[in-house]
Amino acid sequence: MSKKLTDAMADLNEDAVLEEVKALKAKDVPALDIIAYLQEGMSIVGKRFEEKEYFLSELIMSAEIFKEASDILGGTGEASAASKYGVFVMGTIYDDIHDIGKNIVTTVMASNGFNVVDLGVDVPTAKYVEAIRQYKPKVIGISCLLTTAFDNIKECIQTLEKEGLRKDVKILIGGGPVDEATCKYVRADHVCKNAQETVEYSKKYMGV
Amino acid sequence: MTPQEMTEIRNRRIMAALNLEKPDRIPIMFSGQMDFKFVDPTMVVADYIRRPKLVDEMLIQAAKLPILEEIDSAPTVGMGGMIESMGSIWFAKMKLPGRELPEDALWQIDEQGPMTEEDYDTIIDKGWSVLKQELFDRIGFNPASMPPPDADYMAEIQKKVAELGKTSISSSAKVIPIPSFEVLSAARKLPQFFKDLRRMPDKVRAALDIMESEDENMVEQAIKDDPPVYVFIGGTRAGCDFISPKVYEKFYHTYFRKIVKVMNDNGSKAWFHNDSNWEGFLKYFKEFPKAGCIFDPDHLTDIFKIKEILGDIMCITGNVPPALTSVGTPDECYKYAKKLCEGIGPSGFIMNSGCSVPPNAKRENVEAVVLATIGK
Repeated sequence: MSKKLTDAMADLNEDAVLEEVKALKAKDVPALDIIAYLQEGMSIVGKRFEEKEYFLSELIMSAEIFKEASDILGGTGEASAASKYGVFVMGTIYDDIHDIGKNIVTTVMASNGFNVVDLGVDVPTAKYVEAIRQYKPKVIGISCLLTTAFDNIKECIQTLEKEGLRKDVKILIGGGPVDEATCKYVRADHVCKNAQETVEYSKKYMGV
Repeated sequence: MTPQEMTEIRNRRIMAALNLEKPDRIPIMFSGQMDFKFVDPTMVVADYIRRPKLVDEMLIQAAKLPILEEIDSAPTVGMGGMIESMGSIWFAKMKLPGRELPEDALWQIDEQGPMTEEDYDTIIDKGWSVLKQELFDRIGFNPASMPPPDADYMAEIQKKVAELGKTSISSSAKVIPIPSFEVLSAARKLPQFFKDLRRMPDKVRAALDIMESEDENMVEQAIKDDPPVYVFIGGTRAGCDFISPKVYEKFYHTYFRKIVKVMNDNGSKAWFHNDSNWEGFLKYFKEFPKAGCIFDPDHLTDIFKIKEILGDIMCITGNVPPALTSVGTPDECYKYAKKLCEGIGPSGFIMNSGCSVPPNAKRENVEAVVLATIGK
């Protein structure tokens, strides 16, 4: 176990994280092991966030550092391979290009052992359909920061129903204006107020 | 009653609320209301860019509709020509409806983050205004290339607005200060800026000192040139979920402290338009002079907490959620607004949307908020 890497990740020491990842890689430590150390550090970040020692700014930073470190190891695919739980598909709905909230959730989910498929922003319904068919997730997340895009989430969920993909997947929504009324309107399963709630809901639903 | 007499009544109503006195009724001032669709449902958001004069006409007509005529604030006209350049505030490119986005989507900013780590030295050595120009160049924005406002048209449309008899009290048209913390977070992009705060806090603070000082001078001059009742200040990326109290104290609140003093010393109030959750930071606003500020939250800060902590110090506006007016029912909107009137009003309270009334708000929902406020 590389305590040094785990601690550097937990302390958001970007230079030390990148240096240690490179050093471990040079020593032929398997990428999956290195990712596991980073994930351990991210778990501490999550714990510190819950304890109000860290705030969203630290989560955003941790997402960046985790991504930079993963890139050295060949991208987020390696992180996915190290996942303990199932697949989580997420994107920001079409006509909306906001990414901060989505990035926080995808990183926190990845660091909590989910195999995250990040569809990006401005994601058309067809891409959700394709991702669900390909990855067969039990839970998907749709982010939205604009009330003008609520109808797009609604359309997306209706399409998933028509395509026969709705019954096997739980749909979580989140974002600044999204509330219970929105959830009812778009016919999603649950509103997540933050990333941690997404983790807890997904773990509970997947029985882990 | 003439429009001028109506304006005087509305002005007295709003001034009473701003001064924490009891008005004849709770004023209604909706932010960013885009209710042209209430008049012509076939119109789309892209019309702001394609047919801005028609949008202005529809906004004026919407302000005369039954029930909505009770809204005290004037419609925001003349926006069309400004939208393209709005992204420059954040050193971002604009994605516009009908261009990069569908016709009825809301315009959005696409952050570019053109500022480098070395640029902090430029701010410190040469000043923020020098770097700001450089950053505009880097994102390909030339303020001089923007079409100048059509003075004749603006005079004509403002005359029509005056005939509505709405309040003439509004924010300064000359300046909209943005906390330097927020400006840097956009110039660097948020993740990078947060890393800067951690890696080189002294340098960031030194740059903020320069930027804050430049803004103090700019705001003072703008108020002296054209004294407004209040000046709007936006805050979106520094709620208590975003940053720690320590970071807020050291890097953010300094701006509010300096700018509020400049505004109050020159006879203007500070209108804090604070999006996201500010509950944990409300205690810092207790230091401001009584009736010198207005707190305008969106739905993410518990407005009843604001009343509890700041109700004796500043007027509160808010905070009907955009989701409620767009997908809620009239009954839900009425109940929400009634609760605000009873819990926050009647003194020192202005009924408002949380952030803004979205373009897909339903007319019957906005009407329900108005009816609840006027007690019908």
